[in-house]
Amino acid sequence: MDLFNNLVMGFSTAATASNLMYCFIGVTLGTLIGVLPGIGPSATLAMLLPMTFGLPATTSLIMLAGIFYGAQYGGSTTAILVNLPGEASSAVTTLDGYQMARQGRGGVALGVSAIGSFFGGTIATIFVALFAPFLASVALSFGPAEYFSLMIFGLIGAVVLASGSILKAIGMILFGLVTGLVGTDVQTNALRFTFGFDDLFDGMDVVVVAMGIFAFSEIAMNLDISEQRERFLSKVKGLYPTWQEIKQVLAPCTRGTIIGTILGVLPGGGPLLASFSAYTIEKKIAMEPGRFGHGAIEGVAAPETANNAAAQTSFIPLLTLGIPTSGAMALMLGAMILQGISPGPLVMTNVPDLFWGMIASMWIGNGMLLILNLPLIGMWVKLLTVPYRLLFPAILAFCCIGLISFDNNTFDVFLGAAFGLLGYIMVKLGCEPTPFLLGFILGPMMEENLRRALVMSRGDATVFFTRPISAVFILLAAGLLISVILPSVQARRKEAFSG
Amino acid sequence: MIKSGQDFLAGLLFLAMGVFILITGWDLPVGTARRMLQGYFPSLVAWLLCLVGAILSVKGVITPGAPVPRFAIRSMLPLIAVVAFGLLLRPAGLAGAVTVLIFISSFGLSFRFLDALALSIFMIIFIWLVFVKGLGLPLHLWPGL
Repeated sequence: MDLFNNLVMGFSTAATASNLMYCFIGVTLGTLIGVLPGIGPSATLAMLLPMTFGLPATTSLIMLAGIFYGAQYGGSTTAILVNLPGEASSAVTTLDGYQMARQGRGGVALGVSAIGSFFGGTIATIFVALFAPFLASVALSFGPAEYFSLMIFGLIGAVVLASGSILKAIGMILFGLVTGLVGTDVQTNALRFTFGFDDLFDGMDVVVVAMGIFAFSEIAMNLDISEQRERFLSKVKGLYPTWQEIKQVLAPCTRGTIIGTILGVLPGGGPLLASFSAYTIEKKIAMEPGRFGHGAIEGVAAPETANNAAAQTSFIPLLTLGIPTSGAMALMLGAMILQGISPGPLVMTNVPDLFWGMIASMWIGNGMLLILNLPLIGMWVKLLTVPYRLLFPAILAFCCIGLISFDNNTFDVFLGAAFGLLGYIMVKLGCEPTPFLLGFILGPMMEENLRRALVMSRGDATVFFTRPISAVFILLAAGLLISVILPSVQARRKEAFSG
Repeated sequence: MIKSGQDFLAGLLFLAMGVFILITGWDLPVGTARRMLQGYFPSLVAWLLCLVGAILSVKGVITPGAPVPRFAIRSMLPLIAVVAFGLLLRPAGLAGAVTVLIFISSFGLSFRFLDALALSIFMIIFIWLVFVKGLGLPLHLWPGL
């Protein structure tokens, strides 16, 4: 009954008046910003993270998790109604969701997406509660060598399972790793790559970096696309699917949940891979695959369920191993560190109320989303009618205020702008910003573990291959890397990501 | 001839970055594997970055792919606006900095004077209500106040 007691503790933490309120605020703000076209969950988290600094650790993480689900859901709304996915994970929703909206069934698409997300989120939360303690207990036996190899595996996994060029993603990771080292070296107290700036002595803040490479560069990219997209915003009505439609999506939602739950745990898997796989599978096993792309309700239900389930289970590696698998999780990790929590398997034993409170709040947050979104959908739709030329200066202003709200330091504003420029150039060159952020956050941790592993082995680098768990991670990473270089896999990968 | 300008350029950028790290980090002592000093890990990563950059730029020369992307000057406006915000925050206060930010960035997409003005006023009131009064952030709306 350990699990039961833990869940009771979690719910009693999450259900305090102030935590419930901040969860609610988080979900609402997350949806509000997430709905805005071109602003994905990572950018939303970066924008809103500064608002949570003043809160106690548990409350701030509960609020951030709420922001994350809210942003995820808001992104789906935009994908369905205006054919503009906020982040890659909702790109697949546009295929059938937007077609449904054009046929006047946008309301049902939104309803199914909300109900499916709740369904997937619920099952995934149970999975997190069952599986996370197990993984944490395994991770307790990890030494520095295991951690280093695990990070290699995680980073390679993130590269292989993500879309786009592998070589470019590896380049972005390496670039991020070095950027993460800027500042004072913890071991030797030496300054590295600070170029004489006092403000860089403590390194760069993950929020500043993420604000630049996600929010600023996304806005810059959006101005690139000169032609206005077709906006189809009829009145959204009839949110509730018919009984017939519910029966139609029951199986796709179940499959979506399973796919999402499993893929969410994998490094680099997360919501993106989950939604694409769920969609591809539904299309493959459908009686009439021709309906897909023309407003098939399964094509909305399955990926939406899967990406929410995956969003939930992507917390597993973060909470148990301290390893982020996506841009959003990297920001959560940054928030944990800012709150003075060192991420890793000890979080569960050291601060159990935080750990279980967060898990319980995941479920509560998902429930709030369901209750919040269906009645408030009219408001989100109104927000979508605000022209972009008014929206983006306002978003920029909020980002800037977020940057100075840290410690009123204008250096962070300039640094954010510099990362915005970097992000813009890199995206233009076909390099995704997410691997950069993962490298940035893992850089100091990798160096630390490499150092400690080599000290313990007296400088013998074979330690990574002679310790069995470490060897498994290295082999897995190598296997993944070799497999994607094979031409046959490359072709299939292309096919999978083209939807 | 270069078959993919995009890959070639990305490769060159990684290569340049790797070389830059190696040069600026040249004076950092490396140490030994047994006792890694501050230069060990950065130079390891920098060499790998050079390697990836070199492979990518060679790939750009020999295998076909996307051409060199077109960079839009207009896209720089939001970033210029952010820098202006940073420069003006102290001398002009938050209200002034936000107004300039909105005016500069508005040029990026069909600028209308009255819209930008109305948005600035709206934002200043909003910031005052939510961030200053509501959240109690120590922000100074006006210079010297």
